[in-house]
Amino acid sequence: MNRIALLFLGLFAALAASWTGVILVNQGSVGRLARVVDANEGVAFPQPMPGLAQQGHLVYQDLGCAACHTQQVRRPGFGIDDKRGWGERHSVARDYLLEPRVLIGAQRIGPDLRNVGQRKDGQEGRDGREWHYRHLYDPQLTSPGSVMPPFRFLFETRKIVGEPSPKAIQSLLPASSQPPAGHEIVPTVRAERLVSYLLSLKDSYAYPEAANVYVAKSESQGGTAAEGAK
Amino acid sequence: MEGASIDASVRLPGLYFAAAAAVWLVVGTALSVIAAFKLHSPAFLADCEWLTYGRVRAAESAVLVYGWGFNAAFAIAVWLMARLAQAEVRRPVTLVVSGVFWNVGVLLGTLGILGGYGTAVEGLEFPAYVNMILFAAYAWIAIWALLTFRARRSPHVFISQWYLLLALLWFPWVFSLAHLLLVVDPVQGVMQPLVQTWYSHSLFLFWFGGVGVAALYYLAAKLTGRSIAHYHLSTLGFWLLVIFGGWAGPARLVGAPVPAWVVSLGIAMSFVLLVVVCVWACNLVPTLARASAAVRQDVSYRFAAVGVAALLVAQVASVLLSLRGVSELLQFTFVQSALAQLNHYGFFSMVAFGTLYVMLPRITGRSWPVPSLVGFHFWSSLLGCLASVVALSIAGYKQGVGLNRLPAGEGAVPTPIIDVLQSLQPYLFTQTSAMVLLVAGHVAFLVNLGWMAASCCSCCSPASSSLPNASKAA
Repeated sequence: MNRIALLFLGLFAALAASWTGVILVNQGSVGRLARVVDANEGVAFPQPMPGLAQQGHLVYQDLGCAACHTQQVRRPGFGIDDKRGWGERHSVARDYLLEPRVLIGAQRIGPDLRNVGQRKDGQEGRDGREWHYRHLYDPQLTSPGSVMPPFRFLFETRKIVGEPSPKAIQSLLPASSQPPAGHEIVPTVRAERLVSYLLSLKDSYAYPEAANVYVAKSESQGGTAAEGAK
Repeated sequence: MEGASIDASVRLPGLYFAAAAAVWLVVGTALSVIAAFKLHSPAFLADCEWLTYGRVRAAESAVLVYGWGFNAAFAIAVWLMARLAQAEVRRPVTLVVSGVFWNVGVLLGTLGILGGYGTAVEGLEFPAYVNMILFAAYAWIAIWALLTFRARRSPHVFISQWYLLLALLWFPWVFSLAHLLLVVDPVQGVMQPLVQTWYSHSLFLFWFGGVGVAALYYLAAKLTGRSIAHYHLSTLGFWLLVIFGGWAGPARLVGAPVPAWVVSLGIAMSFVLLVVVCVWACNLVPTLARASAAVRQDVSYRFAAVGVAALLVAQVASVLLSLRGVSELLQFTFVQSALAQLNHYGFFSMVAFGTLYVMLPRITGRSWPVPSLVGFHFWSSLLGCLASVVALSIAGYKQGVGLNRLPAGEGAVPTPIIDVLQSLQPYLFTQTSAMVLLVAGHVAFLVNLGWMAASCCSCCSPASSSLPNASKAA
């Protein structure tokens, strides 16, 4: 075991080989995926996140939400993500194309959030925004028994000066959570950004690569691929 | 070259890295307790943004890896390299200076994560600027270890040195590449999780695995006074690990939206690593089994034996968990946390403890001041680790069944995720208790180490090469 030059050369060659095989080869294929232009709609998918949602992505990142929530819907037959209603279809590589930091997660202490914007759409008015504010303020209000911590530091209790804020949320809270008289609870700008991000999470466009699985799921539900694609 | 003068040359950096490691270990496991407690009592410290669950979990992971793990690995690598090369470490103060930079980086990074500036990239959680400090400090430490190797007087290069060279040379490449591709100029889309798993797998397999296995080979031979059984096989194990190990990382991305072939290749390579596990077993188990009754009472021997068992179980378990059928059930569950605990604590930390208990009395020339604390440390670490791994494994299995299986019966609907998590509460509470036990053991280790360092510093006498008997207290 005294051939040191051979050892150094072997280590470098092995490192270069795994780097080439795992990273470089995939960078040449999946790393160069492009957006799909839908001729009917005249729009390229995936679409960029709105500005506020992009800022909310940073809040999601800095609070470490990915420690408990995944953002990847597994294909039908591999787990029961579809039966849990976590997405119309399984996640595909193209879904993540425009995300500055891809947080697919590795632990499910809470539900998958890849399509949480779609799930809460239309719930409790204002496109589900109010549900999320209540949920972040105190998860026990919306999900009794949840192990999610409250994020009250994303809200400000302040004295009402002049007109009450239209963003105040105390009317959504129970009596035990009401602020002192003359005060209101308003989401901070970070809460607004985070909720905007969560509401932007919806992978509804049926990419060609998701088509096979999508058809199978539609058949089981009595629908068709064409219907689902809309 | 006498062992005493070699040990004396490592005294300053060895003590510094060991003390820094012990401090970070207490901090890291204290953060683990907070995180574990929050899982069954979510309102605990909920109003403190710095201690919200996601940040504490990331900080805990980073502190245990870069604070405890790296400092301990530096101490072990420098000492083993000097010992096996039979060469003194020249100008050891420079290693301490690099170590100070490293630990300042870890401190800034930890505060950065808790303050909300973390990257949220698993394994690279620190803010970007911290990685620069860490890289520069690491480069200096690694170069010093390599210079010691270059000045070797021993004609034979032992297998421990091969593993140390693997760790020292592989880490800077994967660290800098991952930093560039994930933090500085992130690659597009799902290439990010691919690079991330490649990095974190390499970190644990080649850095912690390299230093840990090097220490195990050394301890097995040194403590038993016998040569390694089937030594000729060790080269085969080494090269199989080097050639195939780097490809196995993507196996944990089963079901993720990444190219299926790279996941399948990762699973296949994981199976090749089973041969490496067999080689380690053939080398280490018979060697340790031949120890005399007196040696079996030595705390270092006990730590090493636990480390070998954890290494073998963890490697086999990680191969099984990469199978698609198993992964379908247990991916995204606490079973993965149990595996990480088994790998990082059961294997690496146990081996690091065992090595430090041999190394520190030699380099300081002092016995462990309170022998009973040594025994307490061993038993609390063993029981805490065991309880934690078992509790997380059961919790993870129940979590996997609850999340991924429909209840029996026609037209059954999935169990609500809240009910699934509620059913895990007894196990999560056990996990918290196990973490508290670990913290107690780590405090005992820190107190003993601090006492030893203080007595060494107050009366700086030449180090003795004889192994004091105090470490046999366990």
